[in-house]
Amino acid sequence: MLSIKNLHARAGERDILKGLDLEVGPGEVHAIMGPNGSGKSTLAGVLAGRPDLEVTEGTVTYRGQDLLDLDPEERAREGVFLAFQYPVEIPGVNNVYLLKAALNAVRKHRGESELDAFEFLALVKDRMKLMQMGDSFLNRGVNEGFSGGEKKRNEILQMAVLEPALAVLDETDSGLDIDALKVVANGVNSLRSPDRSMVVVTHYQRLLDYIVPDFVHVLSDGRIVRTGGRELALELEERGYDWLRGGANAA
Amino acid sequence: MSTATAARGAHAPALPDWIEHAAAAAAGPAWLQERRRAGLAAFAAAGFPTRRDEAWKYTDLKLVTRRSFGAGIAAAPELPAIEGLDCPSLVFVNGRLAASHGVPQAVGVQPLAAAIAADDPACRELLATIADPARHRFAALSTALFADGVLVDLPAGTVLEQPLRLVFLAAAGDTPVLECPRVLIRAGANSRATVIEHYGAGTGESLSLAVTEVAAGPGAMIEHYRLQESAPEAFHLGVLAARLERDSTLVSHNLSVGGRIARLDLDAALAEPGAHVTMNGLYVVRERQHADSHSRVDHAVPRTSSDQLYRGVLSGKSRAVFNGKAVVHPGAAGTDAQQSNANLLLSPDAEIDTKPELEIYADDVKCSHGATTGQLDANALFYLRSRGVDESTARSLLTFAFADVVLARMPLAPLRRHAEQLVVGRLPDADRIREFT
Repeated sequence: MLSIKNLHARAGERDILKGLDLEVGPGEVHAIMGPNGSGKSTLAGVLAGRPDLEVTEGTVTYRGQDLLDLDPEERAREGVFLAFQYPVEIPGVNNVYLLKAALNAVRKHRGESELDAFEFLALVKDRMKLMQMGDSFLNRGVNEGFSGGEKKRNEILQMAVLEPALAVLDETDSGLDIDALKVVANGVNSLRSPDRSMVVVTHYQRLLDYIVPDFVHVLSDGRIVRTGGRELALELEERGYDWLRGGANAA
Repeated sequence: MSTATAARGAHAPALPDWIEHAAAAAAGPAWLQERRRAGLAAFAAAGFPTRRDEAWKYTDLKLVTRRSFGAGIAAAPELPAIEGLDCPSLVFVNGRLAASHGVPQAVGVQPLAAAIAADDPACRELLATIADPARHRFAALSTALFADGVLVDLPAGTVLEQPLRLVFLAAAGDTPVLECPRVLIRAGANSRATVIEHYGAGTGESLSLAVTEVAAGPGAMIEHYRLQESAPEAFHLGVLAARLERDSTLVSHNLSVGGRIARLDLDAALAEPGAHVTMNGLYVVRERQHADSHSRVDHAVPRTSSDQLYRGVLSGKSRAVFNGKAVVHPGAAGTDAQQSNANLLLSPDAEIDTKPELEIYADDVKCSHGATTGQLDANALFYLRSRGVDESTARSLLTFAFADVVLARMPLAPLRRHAEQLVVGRLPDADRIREFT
């Protein structure tokens, strides 16, 4: 599904990713953990094509094609979805119209017919129920005036409607109370399937109690320094990140 | 200022022939002739503005002064369609009444020329008394030259259930045409009305001196729309001046998308406590268009409020000017004056000159102003693209959303939709944006 080799990336003058390798197979859920500044969000941004990040070395192959060669909108249509850490408020662009345009862009790209208004609304309402969102979300501006928790739920709603092949969740747990976290995690779990892969970026182990990963990777100073199963996350919670930084240097 | 004007007045060149002709043709009773003469004298003394005039520093009228403007040609008084808006309308061609649709006799709306001929007291009392001729030389010129227009005279307690729509079309032949649309609104105590001034596309080169005066009585509520979508070669110099009495409200919605050079001077004098004015303005210019928005609010007494929201979208080699002023006079405690101007520059060749001004001579006031100029928000752009929206559409969509903040304040839905479509039509990927709106 996704193969990252020796990825180097910078933001402005600052080198952030310094030789990152990662293999994600179909249906797998990979957690990326690490201290602040280790490059977690940069990785998520590079995968989605954030224009202010520059890849200086390495390759990213997604379903056999060079992901880095694609514009952000092309990636989205190819089935890559980024759930933003800080979803952007866009007053004046209607939430539901954006969702419809996004879905139809994906469907058109796949050679499928666009959904009519009725079919679309039925789909959205079904997914909104899953995310425990009221109808009032539909006709507001994109994320306009949403609370932190509402924004995160809106991200997962979009994901649930778009049904991506590769979902990248960037600190989706940040700013969520435990109830909202459960709703979001429930939404994500309902989307787990043998042909959908997920990269879950998080600082805290807490999210992984609810979204149980197949693999846990620890990112430090722009590289993956440790890979393990779920138990690695628990160990990190107990011991913090410092012991791994030492390990990275030793390696 | 007065010294400079006087000095220039002493050496003022003779007025151009086309002005002399139009002035000679302007008729009326003695009181009006007197005001016409005073107007012409004021304009002659001031002359056409040059870039040395502070109020015209960024708006060059050479294109206007090089031309002469005549009476124009006959044309069909077509009512530009606005979907869903079916209301009493008056249509003017070249400043003269050409058609009337469904305007009931009893509501206090009548053609200005007819009202003057009937010696209507509202005209005599108010016409050319609200727009300050010293500050607005083109209002003074309009007073000297106008042929017709509209009087809206609402007796106390009158509520106009339907909006009133005034359409002004310029029709030039081989030579440019002058039109002087003139509107006088007297809103009696606790009256309510919605008035739409629609400056349609028309044909050919024109100079519009469009002057509207509003006298709002105690508790009156006027919702005023101004849609300026003149032809690309048109020159539009407008003045909207209002005087507001106790607890009255004027809400002005002003969309400027047409014309080669378009300017509106919008003045509100908040003369008694509780008076409020809202000014919502949007200018969208492209190619070599030039739009100038000057506003001024005078908080003359305690407890008045104003809210100015102006936005601009500039592309091509277009240029726009915003000058918004709020003056809080001595003793005007409890004034609330808010003002903001934001501009989006879509091209490196576009230029905005913005100057919000606050003059405060009183204590205990709440005032704020701010001006921003920038490009589209990179995060929002990336967010839309990450959802599969192509970059060009995403740019247009964000541009529209930026402008729509102003249009969203229009309560009259058919007009808001029309205004939105006017804006969308001026952006790339118009058809794609329509799917979102």
